[in-house]
Amino acid sequence: MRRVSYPARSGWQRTVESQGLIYHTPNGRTYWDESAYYEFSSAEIDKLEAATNELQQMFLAVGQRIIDRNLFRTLHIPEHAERLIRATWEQEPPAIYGRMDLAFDGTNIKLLEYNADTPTALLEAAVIQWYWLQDAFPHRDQFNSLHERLIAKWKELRDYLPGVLVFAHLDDAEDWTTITYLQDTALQAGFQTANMLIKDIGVKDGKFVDIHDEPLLSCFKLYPWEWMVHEEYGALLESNDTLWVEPIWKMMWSNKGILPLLWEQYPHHRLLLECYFDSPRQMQYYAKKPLLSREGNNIALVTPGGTIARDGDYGEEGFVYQELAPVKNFNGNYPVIGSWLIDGESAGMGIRESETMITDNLSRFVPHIF
Amino acid sequence: MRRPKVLTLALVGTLAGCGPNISREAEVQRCIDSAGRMADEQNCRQLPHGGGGGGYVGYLPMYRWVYGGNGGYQPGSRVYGYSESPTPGIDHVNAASLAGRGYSVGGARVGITNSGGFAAPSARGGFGSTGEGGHGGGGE
Repeated sequence: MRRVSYPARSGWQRTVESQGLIYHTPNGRTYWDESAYYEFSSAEIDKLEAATNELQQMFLAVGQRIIDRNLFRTLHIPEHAERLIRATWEQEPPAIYGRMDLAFDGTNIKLLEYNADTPTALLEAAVIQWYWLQDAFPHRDQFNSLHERLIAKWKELRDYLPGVLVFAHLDDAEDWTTITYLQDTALQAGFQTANMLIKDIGVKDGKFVDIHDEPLLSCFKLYPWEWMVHEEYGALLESNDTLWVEPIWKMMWSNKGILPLLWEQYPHHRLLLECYFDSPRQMQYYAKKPLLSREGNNIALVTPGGTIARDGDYGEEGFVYQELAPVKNFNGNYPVIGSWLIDGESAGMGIRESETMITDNLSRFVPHIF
Repeated sequence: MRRPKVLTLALVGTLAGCGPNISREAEVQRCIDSAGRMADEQNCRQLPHGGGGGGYVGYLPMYRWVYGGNGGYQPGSRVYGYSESPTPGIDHVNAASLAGRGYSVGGARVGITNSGGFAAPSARGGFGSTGEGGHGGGGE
């Protein structure tokens, strides 16, 4: 794995905008960064793919353990959500995608966390970096079968998801981009689709309805379950038959509390970082992460060089303490691998790099080749 | 997890079934407690005319009538986006009446049919309040 400086394409802003990436330079800060790329060997890509698939199996096993041993309160999951999680875990409703964030130094791979419920940066990984590869290195390859696999998965679900497939989200540029891309892949798979804001989901006679007051039968929501279950309509989830994608059981995996549970079940596993609920214990250097933090908020890193902390409004549910990850420093750039899974299988990756060891919403997306 | 300190109403309730059978609208009247939750309407009926009462919690009366908004119709349900005074020129209907007809949740207004019944009310805004609290997107 190496980071290579490379000239950006002339007029790259117009190019990526034409491909759907409208927030390449939010507030004047570079987000899509093609002034460099990361180069991997085929063996490294194979290693990342295998690690992602192995971790997925470990998550399945820990999910089963949460259910069997009733560990929901440990994760601060409320009772009404627990009943839905148990039911959907057994019924296996559609689950489309997820993104594991991995630290990789060229040798060691370590799981940082799993964004299993509402991952974004999908268009960049699936489309934008692929077109960049065609322009910059047409004879090289990229770990990226996201687009084809998304369409294939939606096709599989044609007979399973009834009615119009509604895509619901917040009024946010990044979310809008991700949802529009996913909607596009569903359209290509033959779905009739619609798009609405999450706040416009209605209730009529106790049943969820769309913006036209038609029954909401199938809904992909880019909105975290941990928010939904605590909001006003959360109490109606149990009495509704809406098929939600991603399913509610993903609450277990996107909760940082899964990390110490993984460590308990697979102690000293080569892909895991040591992690605990109660305290850092004997760890000298570690990351303190809120159970439900998002975008790097309220994360504190205790490093040999001092403590790096991000403010935010998370943490009331408690924290986990995770061993400091070996994120390699490439001349002041710290890359984190976003390893994507479609239908539970490794399907590609995107790289976000930051100037600190915390990946947040200001981190840059940098393309890769192998 | 972040929760908004001020819960905002995203969209007032919409009137369902605006067809020819609907003759007029009525605003939903709710009895709430000082925590903004639906209370037994008996608590508000005992209040002095036109005012809140039943004691005070801080500056808020323990029980009071509010108008419009979104939320459940049963005691204990959270209510969002209501007004402290009725909209002039429009009738009101008690939430308990709607609950008695099997409606569990709804918006600011309901339709009154020509036969004097209620049209099924739809409500909106029950999802999204956390994300609308200045957080940014729902994805990460």
